[in-house]
Amino acid sequence: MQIQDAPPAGDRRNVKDRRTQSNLLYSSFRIGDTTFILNIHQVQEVLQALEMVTVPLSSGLVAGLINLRGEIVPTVNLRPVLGIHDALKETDNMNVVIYSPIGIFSLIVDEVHDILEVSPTMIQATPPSLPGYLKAITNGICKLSNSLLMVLDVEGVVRMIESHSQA
Amino acid sequence: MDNSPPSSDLLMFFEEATERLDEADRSLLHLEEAVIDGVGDASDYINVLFRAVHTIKGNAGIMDLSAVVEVAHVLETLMDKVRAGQITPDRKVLDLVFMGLDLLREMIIVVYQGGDEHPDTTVFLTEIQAVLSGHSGARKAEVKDIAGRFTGWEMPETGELIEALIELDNQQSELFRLVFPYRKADVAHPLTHPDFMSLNLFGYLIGWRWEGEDQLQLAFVAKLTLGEVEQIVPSNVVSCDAWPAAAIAPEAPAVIPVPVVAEASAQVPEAVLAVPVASAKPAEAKVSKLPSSEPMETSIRVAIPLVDKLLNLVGELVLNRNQILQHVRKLNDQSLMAPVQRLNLITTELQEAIMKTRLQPIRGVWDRFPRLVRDYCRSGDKSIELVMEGADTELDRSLLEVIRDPMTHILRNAMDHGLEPAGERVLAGKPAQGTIKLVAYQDGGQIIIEVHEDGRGFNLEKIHAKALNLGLYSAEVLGAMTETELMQLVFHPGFSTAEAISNISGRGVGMDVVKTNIERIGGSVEIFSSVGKGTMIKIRIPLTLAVLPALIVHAGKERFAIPQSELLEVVRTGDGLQRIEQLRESMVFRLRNTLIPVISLRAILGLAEPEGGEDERITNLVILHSGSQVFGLAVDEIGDTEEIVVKPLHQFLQAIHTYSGVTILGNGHACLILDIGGLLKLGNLSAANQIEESNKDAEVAGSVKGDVQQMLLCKIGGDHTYAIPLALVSRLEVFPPEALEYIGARRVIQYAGEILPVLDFESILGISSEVTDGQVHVVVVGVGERQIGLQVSEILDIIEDRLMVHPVHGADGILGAAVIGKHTTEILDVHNLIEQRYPDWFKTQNSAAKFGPKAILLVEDSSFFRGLLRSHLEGIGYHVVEAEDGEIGLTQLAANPIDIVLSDIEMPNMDGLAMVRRIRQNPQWKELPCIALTTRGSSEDRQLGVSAGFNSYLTKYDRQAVLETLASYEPGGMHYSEEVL
Repeated sequence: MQIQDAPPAGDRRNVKDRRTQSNLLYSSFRIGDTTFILNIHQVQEVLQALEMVTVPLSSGLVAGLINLRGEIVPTVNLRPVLGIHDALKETDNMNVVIYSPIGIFSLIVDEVHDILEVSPTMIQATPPSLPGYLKAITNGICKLSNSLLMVLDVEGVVRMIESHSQA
Repeated sequence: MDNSPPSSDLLMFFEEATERLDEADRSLLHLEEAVIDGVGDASDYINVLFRAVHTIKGNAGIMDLSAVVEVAHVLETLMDKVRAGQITPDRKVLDLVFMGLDLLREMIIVVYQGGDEHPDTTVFLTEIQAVLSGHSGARKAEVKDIAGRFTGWEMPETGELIEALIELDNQQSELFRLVFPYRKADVAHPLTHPDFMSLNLFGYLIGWRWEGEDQLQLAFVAKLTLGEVEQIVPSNVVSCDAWPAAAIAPEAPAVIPVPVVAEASAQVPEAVLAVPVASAKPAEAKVSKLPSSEPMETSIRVAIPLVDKLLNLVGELVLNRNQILQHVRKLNDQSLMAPVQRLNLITTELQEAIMKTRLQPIRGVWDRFPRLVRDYCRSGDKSIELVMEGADTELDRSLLEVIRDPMTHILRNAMDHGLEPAGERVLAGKPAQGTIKLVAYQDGGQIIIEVHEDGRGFNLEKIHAKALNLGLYSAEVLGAMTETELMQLVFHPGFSTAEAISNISGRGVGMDVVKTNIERIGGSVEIFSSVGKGTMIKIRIPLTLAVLPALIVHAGKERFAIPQSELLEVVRTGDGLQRIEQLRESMVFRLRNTLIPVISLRAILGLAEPEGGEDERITNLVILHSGSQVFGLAVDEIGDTEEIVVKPLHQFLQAIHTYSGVTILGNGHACLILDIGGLLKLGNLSAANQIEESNKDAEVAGSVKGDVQQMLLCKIGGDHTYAIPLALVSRLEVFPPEALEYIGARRVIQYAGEILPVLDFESILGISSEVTDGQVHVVVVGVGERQIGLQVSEILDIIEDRLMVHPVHGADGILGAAVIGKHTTEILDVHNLIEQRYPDWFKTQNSAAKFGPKAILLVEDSSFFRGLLRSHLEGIGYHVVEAEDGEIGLTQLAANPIDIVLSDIEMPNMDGLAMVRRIRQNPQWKELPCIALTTRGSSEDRQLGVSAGFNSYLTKYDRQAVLETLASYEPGGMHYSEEVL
């Protein structure tokens, strides 16, 4: 299921009624083989890929710029971090627009999954065995019966991009 | 200063007070004009001034700013008295008001900025009190008025009388009536009678009256009590009593002057009033007739951030509108068309209206100028009329702030340097009064501001001399400059032709800053001047900063915007047109008479070539400037110009300095705006124009055939132009003078981690290669494996021409002379020069010559090269036999004993390959060393040459290699010397 926008306040209250007080809502999406989850309050919206203008000389993680209703938003491609080096296709990418301390950016993902209701107790600290590149952009994991979800660390992503662009 | 923002009350007070002060300043200038020149009606201005000061006083009272209240109060009192005709608004009074207004402004700024150091008001207050108390007789009218009330009294009008009456008026003194028993016949002058000397010491005797024949009544004013007076009066006094001032007047209140002046001043003789002030008629009536300077609320105050936000939003709306328009055109849906057209119109109007909210008349900047001119005229010996046209021309408020200082500077310059003193003007047949005219008008998307002045005009000789003095250019460059070019020199930092530094201008800072500031906002400054007639400075600035015109260029698949302010011109190059010259890795382009470096946008951004294999030779060149650096940017395609709204780059991208921002084009796509300075840095062009080692293959081959030569022209020692064969040149570098170091008498520069020897021509050719423009220009020449620098004064050009090289006899280090352009230019023999200075440089070859002269057959069709090589070969002891082509070569070979053959490949009649095959066919010459010297350097060519029979295959012009190869065919083998320094 895809959400076209952050759910309006009314909807959110309904959802809240259904879940236990402490559970949180997470948006989930997949990049390559990895599924990430992110608190829905950190997601502005999900959108179909818009026409993107590439930025020559930018670090490999900033794929380009899109015009999001008059606001120019950088698109971030985390695939190289996850070891995927396929060239981006122009159309079949979904964008998750994420709030960050330095303004919104759009994350290119392969697929957007459902919104999940997760109890904070299910989220565990990142295990030390995780590869470094994943540890840098996650701040927890959520084990489900059939899958493992990584909690995306937005600030970690920002830090990673910034260190890349300085290099 | 504390850092907390001023409260909103304070902000409002500040804004209103500033406006009021501006208004007061204006009125005061008009008043001065009215009073001094008798133009216009002074009373209107006095009223405005009064009200302005009054309002400030009231507001300052509310804000509890007692110091401001005090100054405003005395100003108000003064204006009131002027209004009432009690004080004549002469120069002194007006100066005081100017001073007072300045003081108020200063104090208000201090308050606004949260400072606590109030300006010193004591001088002002003292002076204004003096005027208020009428030292100068300005209050004669009032004094007469009081004096008039002493009916039947004799009151000689003296300074003392006035002083006394004023003291009395201000209740500083008391009035006493003294009665003495004197007879009228005995006392002719009662006030100066010796008996009353003591009284005159303590106060003023101001008048007398004879009561009958034997009783003298005296009016005595003193700062004494009655008791004290009784002690000092002569003992023959009959009576002594205090005489309340009020008692002497029929109408008590009139003694203390109040603005009920109608009847009081009606008695005042006309002569006393220099101006027709309001007093002639009831003041109130006058006021009601005035066009109200405080119209009912037709404007509101809006915070600037709100206006900025509106502007941004409307910018977005415009972009959105553009996108909708594009889509609707594609859809071709008639039902949508009409509302969208309407949307289009409304958006455009909305945009214009919102733009207008940011516009302010240029008056805001000019308003201060009349005052500036006035003050200047008062302090100097010039009389200047300031004319302003188009003060209502509007431009963006942010631009107004930027042009304020440059305009002030230009005006000061005009007053100080431009206009002559009155005497000089009269001698030159001009009116004594100079005129400065400010003109502003809109021309398309630009605002033009002109400053005209009918002064002496620019003295080109002085500019010339100053430029020479500052070492900006050499005498002959200056000599060749047009008048316009010379005038532009005043924009150079540190340039001022003022003979004396005055307190107004002439400190040598200025015009360069003016230019920089104006250019920063995308404007330009030009000077037009004609000697003896005057000067006009023309400033062009864009209407607004928020939207800027930009040129869209394409590189690869991408599009980029270049701000038009950085753009000089667009040049199309390619087949049949002037080409970009490729010098190995770098490119240069000859733009009229200057060589400019070229960078390829596609290459610098690492973009792929556009699909479809376009014609490589045709390129569009965008000529840009960043600061003083002019360069060409090669792009694939030139697009449209668009009005773009600049948006800041996201933080993720700010580490890249190639872009200054981003915008959204009409088609809805984001588009990066190029940062020209950043591009320059990326292209590594900021330090110097680099010309990489020339492409020895194709370029030189083309140049050799038919004697077409490429030469680098440079100046050495200021006067002479010399040419250096370009093929020898590796790079052009510029160093600061301190980079030059000395090892013994030899110059070196640390360069790319190595020590680069630098040849100066002083010791060799006797030409001084002094540093003229503060930089050391070095032509880096590659000689074999090593490099050497030639220090020249200036790099002029690279030319490619069919040159007739004439030998020059008796000139060591000169290869020959050729006519380049219209001038005879000497071509430097770089090898000879190096040898003169560093005899060991070519030790290898010298050692070769030890084995006795060898005969070389030199087969070469280019006479120039033949000459060049011959001189080198003979210089190190070879005997040279020349041949122009293969056929002649074979003939010469048969006719002369030859040890080595050195041959070109491409030649008429018989080429080098054919010749060497013929040589090898002859058993006598089977072992004869044959060396190919060619520019055809590909491996196939090499293969072909070797299989034809050449022993060695060399690239033309690599002299070191040629000589070493020759040496290797010597019986003794090779001796290298690395230690040449």
